[in-house]
Amino acid sequence: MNMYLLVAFLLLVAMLFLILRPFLLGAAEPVTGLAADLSDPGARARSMAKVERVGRAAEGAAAVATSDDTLEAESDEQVAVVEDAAPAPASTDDIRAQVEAAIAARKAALQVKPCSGCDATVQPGDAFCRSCGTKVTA
Amino acid sequence: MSELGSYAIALALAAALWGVVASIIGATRKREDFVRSAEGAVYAMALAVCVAAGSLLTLLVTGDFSVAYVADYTSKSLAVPYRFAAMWAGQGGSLLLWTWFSAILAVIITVQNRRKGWGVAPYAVTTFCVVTGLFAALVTVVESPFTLLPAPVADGQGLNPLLQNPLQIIHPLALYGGFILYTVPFALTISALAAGPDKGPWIKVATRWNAYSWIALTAGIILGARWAYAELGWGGYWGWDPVENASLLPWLTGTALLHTTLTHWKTGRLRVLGFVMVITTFILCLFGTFLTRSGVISSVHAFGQSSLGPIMGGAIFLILLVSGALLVWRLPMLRAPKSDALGHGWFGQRALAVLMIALTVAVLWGTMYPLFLRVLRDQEISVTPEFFRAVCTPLGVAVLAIFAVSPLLPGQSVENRRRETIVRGVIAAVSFVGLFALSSWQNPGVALVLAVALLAMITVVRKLAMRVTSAWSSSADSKVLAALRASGPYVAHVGLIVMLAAVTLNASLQQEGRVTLKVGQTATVAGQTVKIVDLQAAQLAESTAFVATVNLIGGDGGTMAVVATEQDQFTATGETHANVGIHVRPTEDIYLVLEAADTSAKTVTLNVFTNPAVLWIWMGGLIMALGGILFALPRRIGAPPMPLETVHDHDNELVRV
Repeated sequence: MNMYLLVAFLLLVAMLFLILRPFLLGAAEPVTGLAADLSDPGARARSMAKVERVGRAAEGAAAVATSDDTLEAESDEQVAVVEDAAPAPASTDDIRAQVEAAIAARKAALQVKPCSGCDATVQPGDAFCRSCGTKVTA
Repeated sequence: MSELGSYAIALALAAALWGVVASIIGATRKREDFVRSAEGAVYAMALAVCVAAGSLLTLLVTGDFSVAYVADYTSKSLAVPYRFAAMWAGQGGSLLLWTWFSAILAVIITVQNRRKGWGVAPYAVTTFCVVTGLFAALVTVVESPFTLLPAPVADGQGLNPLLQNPLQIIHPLALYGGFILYTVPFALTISALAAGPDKGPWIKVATRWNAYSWIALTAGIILGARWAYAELGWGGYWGWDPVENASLLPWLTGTALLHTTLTHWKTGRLRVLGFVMVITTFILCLFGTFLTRSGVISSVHAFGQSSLGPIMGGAIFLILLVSGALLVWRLPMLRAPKSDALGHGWFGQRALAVLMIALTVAVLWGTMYPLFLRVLRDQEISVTPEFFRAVCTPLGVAVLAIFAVSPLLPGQSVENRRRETIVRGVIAAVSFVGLFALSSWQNPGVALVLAVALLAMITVVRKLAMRVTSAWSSSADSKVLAALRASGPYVAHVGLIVMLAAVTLNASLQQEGRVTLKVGQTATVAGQTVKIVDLQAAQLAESTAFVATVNLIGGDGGTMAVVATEQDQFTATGETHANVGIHVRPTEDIYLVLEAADTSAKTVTLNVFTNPAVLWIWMGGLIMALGGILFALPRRIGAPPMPLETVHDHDNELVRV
């Protein structure tokens, strides 16, 4: 038998296995990713705890110096918790609302604005920009 | 081995077709098993394409001259690196390369997004399977690189000497890479349109991949220009050739796309324009491939006549139709949310996007006009570089002007607008008068462009310093990474300014002259004194090589540099190929082309070019690509990068989950 034909046949078998596996063995994971996790009360509690933890860490970091990058990174983590969750039956909407409320609360707590002179982030309570010294206007 | 390649690519096509069907069924009917099967089809497709590509590379490297493609593009004497490069020297091989890259990218995107639960992943699989399947079909049905010759030949024809240049190993890879990488933002956009544009943060992923595509395309274009400069021997680097333009078009729309997607990401605005730009950029990538391969245009870069034009043209039309229909369908959902906040720097970003679109329209019109005339009126014309220069120069200057006055544009917070305006006006006026005087009151246009470029450079460097300082002082974790990332967009702008200024200088002040001299004679031509010191001829395997050694004489009368310039005359075809001699200096290149040589009379005919600022064109390009790389640096390991402009009102995007 032609060796290359044999290799082609083996390739065909491997390809068929990859394509037909979900039908033969069943889909290993749900399409909706972490939906199952959020329908589990334990996982839900862990997600909320993570949001709180990230929020506290962000607050602590803001006390030193909070940048747009840091804020965005923290927000991303919080959002990722929600994004990874697909609509799960029953209480998912409530969870989402809670997470969004937590995000909104943290964002309000960490409200920052740009310096009019150099665009650097101005911390709450600053009278002058820490980067360029421009006076902070209300 | 060729049979294995043929079978493998046919299997890849079959897997792609199944991937399209299964992903659509899975996504529309919420059938998890079909979605997983479609993902399996992507892996299977990639496996098969890897086998096909491996087969072709093996055939090329081992020199199996029973295969037509191997015989056409390699020979026994061809160096091994160029045997690899022969994969993309011809039509069938380069189509297989595209299929290969696309299949690997499909696997990466599938693995990255399969568990995100956004609802866009199955449609991304559909899009990738359509694109990869299209190219697999072209390789299988129209231009197979695995076709056998009726009888094996003893040796192949070898690779075109013009392509035997290290840059030709990298340039096509970078260019193809750029084209193919644009499949990712396109696939994500189409998926978002199909699944609903608010399904998850796909725009962030698309922006990151858009940056990767832009970097690759920028590098590919610059390397291609450098190759043309060193190999083609006409003294320039960009001839506004249709195929060159075909690579520039997606770069222009891709640059506009970078700015629109960032605005979309950060403020939720410019969504419709962003979607249009993604689709346009990808269609232009396919269109560029169509132009190069269909035989509708003649160019030094084109692959010649081919029967794949109708198939590819039809496929492009179909993709455009489906994308457009999806866009129109989702249009009501894409309207910008009502918000007072336009975002920091919104005017400049929009203006740059509009200018890039205007440049795209101008270049596209100049490229396609001869084709329209040929089809509609059976009339043959060619659009000269003068048209492109006349149209693109004012638009390029407008880009510089936007950089120069950016702090004064609407949407910018500047403390003392009046003072800034006066200072800028004074700098522009003084630099214009100074530069005009430097040119002996000869070139007001050049002086004006350079004055604007200087002002733009000052503005961008100042912004760069402020942004880096701000990122450094405000970053809580990796300060170096934050500062480098923040500098990326401004570094890219610096590169563009350097390049535009250098292009202006080069186009305006280039000198050219031709001279015939005997060995030992000296002459001044194109502002440069040259002395012919030697002429040698050598008989090579396929050609006769004439090598002239030329002394470049400096202002003090001494020898500034010794340059060798060569002409190869091919025995079989009678063709000649120049190996240009270039003496590179920061201010200008001295570029010597050996036009003719007579060893018996000891005479040589030289074309001498004095090319100002060419080094800075390459440097500008490199700086631009570097800026893209800095921008694309991850925020932290495994996280997408931050955007280039500091936009503070990102609430819309964050809550829209």
